[in-house]
Amino acid sequence: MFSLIIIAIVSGIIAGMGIGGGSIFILLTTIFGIFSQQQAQGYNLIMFITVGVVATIFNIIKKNIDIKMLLKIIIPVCIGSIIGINILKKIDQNILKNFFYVFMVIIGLYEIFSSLKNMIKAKNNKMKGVE
Amino acid sequence: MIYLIGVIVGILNGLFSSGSGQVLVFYLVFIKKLETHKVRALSVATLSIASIIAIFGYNKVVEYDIKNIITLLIISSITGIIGTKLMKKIPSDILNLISGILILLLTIIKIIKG
Repeated sequence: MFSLIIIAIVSGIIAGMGIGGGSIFILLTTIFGIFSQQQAQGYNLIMFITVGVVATIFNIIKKNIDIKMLLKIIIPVCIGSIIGINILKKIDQNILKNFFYVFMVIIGLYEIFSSLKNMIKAKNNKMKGVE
Repeated sequence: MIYLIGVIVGILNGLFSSGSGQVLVFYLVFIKKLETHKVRALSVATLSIASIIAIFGYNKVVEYDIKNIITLLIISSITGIIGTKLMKKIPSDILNLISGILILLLTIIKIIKG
């Protein structure tokens, strides 16, 4: 229980920053053997829904959300989720883990390269400004 | 195209329950050229609604312990607010870089541990 609390604190702060708290929660709880892959994913969904619904109500009040776009995208995403869940029910845990590794490596590399690219771009723009 | 991306993001959300937000944000910011912070809000809204549907599927695969659920909900609501406040003080590129390195490192540790 103690390690779960520590992991929840760390990943909760990261999630609040909007930078992949869910991925980090799943990785940490499975590395430390607290949850199986599927359990970690299930608990992560529960945490995400709670925080996500509160954030969304706040964003709707603050008019931060493009409702037209939301209505356009919500149905395909829900259909996809139902397909994903059905794959999850049939898939072997080990295969799921391997797919998860590949997906996480892609997400990790993408975040590193896109942020470095933005930083270099910002630095170049600053230098141009000085000239 | 947006409908196809929507279905793919949904499948990733149902299957892995994490990381699909990044795919949606990538598409809307880089391909559709929408504003980043509005896209993040849209992504959270879309995926929380889709996750409510997904959770019914997980009920059949995962057995939950109510004690764990309560603990996680209390902690994540408090730390979520702390994270949001910290976020405003650190540039978003640095945050993304740290998160990318963390995800990559932890994945490597997980692969080594099996």
